Amino acid sequence: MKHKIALLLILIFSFFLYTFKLSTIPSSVYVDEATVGVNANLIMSRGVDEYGQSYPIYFRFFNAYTPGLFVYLIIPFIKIFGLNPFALRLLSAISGTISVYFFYKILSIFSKNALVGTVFYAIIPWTVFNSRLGYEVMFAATLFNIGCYFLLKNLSKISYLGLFLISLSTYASHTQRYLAPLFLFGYLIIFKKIKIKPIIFLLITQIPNILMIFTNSFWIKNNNLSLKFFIYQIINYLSPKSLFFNLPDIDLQHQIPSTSVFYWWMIIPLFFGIKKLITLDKKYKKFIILWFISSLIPASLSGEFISIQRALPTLFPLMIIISLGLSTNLFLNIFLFLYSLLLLFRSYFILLPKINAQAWDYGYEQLSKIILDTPNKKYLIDNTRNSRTYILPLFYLNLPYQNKIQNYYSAPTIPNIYSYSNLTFKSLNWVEDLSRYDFIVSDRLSISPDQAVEHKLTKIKTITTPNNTTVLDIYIINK
Amino acid sequence: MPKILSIILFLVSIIYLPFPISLFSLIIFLYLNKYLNKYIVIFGYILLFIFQIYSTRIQSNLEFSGYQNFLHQQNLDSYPPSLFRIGNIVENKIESPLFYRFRQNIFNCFDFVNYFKNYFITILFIPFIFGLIKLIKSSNKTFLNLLIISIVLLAFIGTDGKYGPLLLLPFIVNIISFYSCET
Repeated sequence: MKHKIALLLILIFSFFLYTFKLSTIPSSVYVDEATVGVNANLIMSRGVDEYGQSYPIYFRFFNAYTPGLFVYLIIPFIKIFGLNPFALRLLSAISGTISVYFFYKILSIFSKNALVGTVFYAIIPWTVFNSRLGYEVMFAATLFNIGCYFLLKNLSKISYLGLFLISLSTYASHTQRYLAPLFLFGYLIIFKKIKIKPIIFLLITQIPNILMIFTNSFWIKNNNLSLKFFIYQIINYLSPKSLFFNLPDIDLQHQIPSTSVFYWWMIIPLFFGIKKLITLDKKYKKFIILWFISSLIPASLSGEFISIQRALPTLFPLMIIISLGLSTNLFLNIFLFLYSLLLLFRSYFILLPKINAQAWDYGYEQLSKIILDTPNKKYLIDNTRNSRTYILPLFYLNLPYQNKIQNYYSAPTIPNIYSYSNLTFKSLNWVEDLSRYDFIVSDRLSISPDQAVEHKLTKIKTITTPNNTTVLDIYIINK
Repeated sequence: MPKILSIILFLVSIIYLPFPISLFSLIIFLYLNKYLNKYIVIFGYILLFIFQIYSTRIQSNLEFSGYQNFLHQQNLDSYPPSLFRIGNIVENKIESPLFYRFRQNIFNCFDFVNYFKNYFITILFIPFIFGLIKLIKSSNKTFLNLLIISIVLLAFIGTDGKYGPLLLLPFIVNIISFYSCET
């Protein structure tokens, strides 16, 4: 009973942590979140996405394709709360809270210290970060993890519910599309479950994906890597310096200032956890190692750069190992919990909204408000450095938009010019554009002060981040 | 007699290492294979320890670069006025730049990317992982104690020098060659 109450408190606390100031931290909506919201909204209102495709299996988001389950599932949230950051991010917060529950359930299979591990799982930076995102990564990882729980719980027989949930996760995120077959193949072989019935069951649940294999959309994110590069990527993901100190991910949007995936002190329980893992029951040990290794492979195969979000499935098995090595000393755990919360509060709730505001596409909400006040003026928004920003005013202003393309799943190339309402997003052309538009919006690199003088542009507004970094300048064209 | 695979791994892992480090790696390798006693290892370790201290720019570990000062100030400026006092305590005491540097030095010892990019052939990472797991399981106190002392020393003096974390390299060689082949 005591355990149940403690678990309930942890879940309530987790949900609070994942929803506290959810609309304003992170400080703005990132393009990947906006595209999910815009397309979910279009599906809800018109039954087609931004490219005119009716109820797609994979959504075309910019130049890549993403499995659509998350997009369909946030429609009810948009219907209830409207098209805003809270509605976009709430499903991830719920998924994060559910993942905390299943972390406890999994850990309690082979550890008496499950509550302690669960508390720390709930507050590690990477759980919190991903539970507050308006796109699919946490939701997909949670589906996969719940599936793993059912398989682990019923290792002597086959859990069809587990197989179904893992299979379902492939319709939620690109990473799980590779992880699920890898993991299930290993599971069926290692635990000697290669039988006709589960294989047919899996094939049936994978029919939509199998149909998509023959289209470009299925393969668009693939990269050809050498074995050396693949190992190098694995080293990068596994290096304690990356996991506990400094993220090597070059995408600032993936980073939390002054912290990494785990808290720095967790390197110590990791070593004790490995020692404990070795002594675990053989079948559990095999399962966790299979889970850990298979979850590393898709991330390592996925590209030239380190993307820690693609390695999110590794978080769960790695945290299980760390939890095995945690101390049972109550006072030490309370101290570490409070210290970790302080670090989380500092890095995520204080530093991230200010220091990383630019990486989160800060400024477009303010720009959208200005655009709304001048509906009859034509705007050119320079998109030389980021062609994806066209989606942000669509999100903030909830504008009607469609850019119909033929052969949706064949991944046709689309020029980086987007036009809707009184807005055009393209690279600035000094010869042609000055006579066509009333305003030019650009970042500091597109228009220098000398160029502004030379072309008779008057700066009417500068949009800055909360820590006073200029993100956008708005110029009026003097004709 | 050491296993053939163990000897091959040893030879491959010392290819890029300077001679004194290779020599000390060999001393540890022979000790682990019970050809030498621990006093020779400790004597060799002391020599390498001195070499590490002389080859490291310790001063650079005590000074903060302009960029680090900028980051520290940026963190301080991020706190809203109502939390400025707490911010001051957090940024200057609990998470002070000096403590950050100390942690950075420790994690530089665990920078697998650096080791397998600059000192060892990338593919040796696979036996390294197997060896590391075996090492965690093992109970060779001399090896473990010297390894821990090295990490503690490097946490204080840093690894900024011509040879980097040379004190750790012989241990990594033996994790790759000896421990990965242990049954």
